[in-house]
Amino acid sequence: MNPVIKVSDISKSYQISHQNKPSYSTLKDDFASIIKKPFGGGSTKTEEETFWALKDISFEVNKGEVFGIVGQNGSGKSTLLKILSRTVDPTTGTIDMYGRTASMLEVGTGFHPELTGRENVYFNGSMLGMSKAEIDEKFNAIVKFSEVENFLDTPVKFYSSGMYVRLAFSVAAHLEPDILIIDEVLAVGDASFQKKCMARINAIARSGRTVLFVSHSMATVKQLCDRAMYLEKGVAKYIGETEFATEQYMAKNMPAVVETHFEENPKKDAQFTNIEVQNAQGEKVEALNMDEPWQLELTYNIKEAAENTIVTVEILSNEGQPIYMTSNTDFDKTISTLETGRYKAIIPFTKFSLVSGVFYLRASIQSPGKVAHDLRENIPLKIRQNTKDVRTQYFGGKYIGYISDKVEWTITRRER
Amino acid sequence: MRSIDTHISITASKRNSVDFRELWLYRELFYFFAWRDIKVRYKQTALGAGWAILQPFLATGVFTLFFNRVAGISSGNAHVPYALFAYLGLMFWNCFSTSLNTVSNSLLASSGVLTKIYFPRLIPCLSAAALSVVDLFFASLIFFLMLGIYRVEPGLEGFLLFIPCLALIVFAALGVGIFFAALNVKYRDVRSALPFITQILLFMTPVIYPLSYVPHRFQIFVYINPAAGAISTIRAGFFHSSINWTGNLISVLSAVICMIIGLWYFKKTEKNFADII
Repeated sequence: MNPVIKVSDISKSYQISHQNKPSYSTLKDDFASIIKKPFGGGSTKTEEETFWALKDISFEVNKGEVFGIVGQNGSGKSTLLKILSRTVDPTTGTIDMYGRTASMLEVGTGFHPELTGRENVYFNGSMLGMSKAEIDEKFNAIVKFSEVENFLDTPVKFYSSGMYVRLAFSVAAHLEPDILIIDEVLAVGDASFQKKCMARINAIARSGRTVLFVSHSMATVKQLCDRAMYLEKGVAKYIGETEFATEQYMAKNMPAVVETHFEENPKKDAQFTNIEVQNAQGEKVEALNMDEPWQLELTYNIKEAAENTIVTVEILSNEGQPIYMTSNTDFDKTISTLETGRYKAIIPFTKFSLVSGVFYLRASIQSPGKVAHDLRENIPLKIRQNTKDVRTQYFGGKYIGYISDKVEWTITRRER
Repeated sequence: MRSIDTHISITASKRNSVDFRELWLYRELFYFFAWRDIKVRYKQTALGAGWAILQPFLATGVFTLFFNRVAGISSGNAHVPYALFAYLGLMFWNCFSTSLNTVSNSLLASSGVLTKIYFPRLIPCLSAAALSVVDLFFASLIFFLMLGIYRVEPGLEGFLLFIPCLALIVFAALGVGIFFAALNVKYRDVRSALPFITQILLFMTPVIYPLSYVPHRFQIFVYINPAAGAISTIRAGFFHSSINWTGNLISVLSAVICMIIGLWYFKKTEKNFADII
């Protein structure tokens, strides 16, 4: 398949001066530096430093593919998007794009406060690349989506910020190019409109267009993207499977080495000393196999008897969303006191299993609603998949949700 | 979508020539930019289009009082009252100075979109001149009214030369304005210097005095200023005096040179606009 976007060795450097000078200068400054150093090229070199926002980025995107770009703030995502949408030129390298291209980077840029909603739809639409005929055609859909029908002939300066962004998003969301560059911060407005935005972005991404998608939400990236790139400090650290790219992003957001053995802190009354992910045989493992039972071993030390205290374990999704919680009191009606001593707890997970991917564990010793004696977070729980699963074949090789348990359906035909 | 750019190539190399094909494809955006400027200009003003008339009209009043009555400057033509003479000049001069000003500030004014959305950067510059052209057409209504009031019979050449003179003046304003617009991105001094420059230029251009006040052997140099050429010519056309075609040729050449320099500098600095604006 021929790539429709071909990025080769793109780099972008900026000169950063250490004087906090504004990027624009005044004639005076330039004259002054010429007078001071007539042969110095007009600027003093010691103050400036070359900063590479992007370094040798190369990748290709095929037709119809949804390509994700993930990375921390300052990793060069925005710079790359700006280069791709042609507002900024790269320092070196070339990009070839085959097809009509549009970008949805920031909504509402170019909205003029004095113009009415209707006028802004036309002006903004034109700026984003739609022809007048096209805007005419989509006008009703845009307005309907934005839910501001009643204020169309009011200058947008009188709009609430919610109305403003809704209208702005609607215009951008009705672009229909071959290649679309989307920044996820686009999902705007209140919760329900954000949901609508994401649904729209989903629909666009699934409509067979080639999409470049930038997001901080790994759930969305995993759900939408066929492939992804992980950027770190301007360098493409990984290009390929979405799963691995998002995993790297998540891993970077955590301490590099995850310690599961904890030093005792004499100030604490109660604390964990070890948290270990084990297979069914009780051996410590780096990653678990999907659909195989596993267990968690906790050791903790109670130095002072703690009243009304429980030990809890939560499983969190890659995005930090708690999806399961258990505690030592799962079967008890009342919370009891934790007596002093050193304990070892084995928590077997046999009833349900998780889909492949990275999850996180959070363990705590707490008096609910009162005090947390100890809290350990971000303990990775990696689940590997060794065989291909027929269940994912219709969903781009991805699982929907977190639980992998299969269910046998009983189906009887009631009528022919 | 604009049916363009089925293949876009982005390279680090400089884009140094003006892509006229692309400009043409973005003509609708040019129209929308111009339309926005005009809409916004007439929207929140009580007088709306009235300002287009009032500005040269009031200026004419002031100049007539001080330059004609007090200083004794005349139109240089016994049949033409000074007020009518000054109004025609100021009408075209306003078109020149306003476009020069709006074009020079056009990139800064749209810096928000410039860093977010791609379109040929010349588009906002070009469309910034549209407003002053519309203003000129409104202002010319009063001129024709004044012709009737003062019972001056306009020359046919005036009507024929109206559009060419307007084109020359707008072209010149664009050439210089495009240069300043690009310079303005890097050097904000332009913004402060511009009102001063236009003021000086007003006195260097035969707007409030006739060209005949300039010693004959220097007259040809005045034509280096394209605004001088356009204003002298439109006056000669309406008020039945002879047109200096050599002078006009110099004005046109000078405007073309301004445009070439303007476009050259614009193209040279264009790729850094979004980074430093």
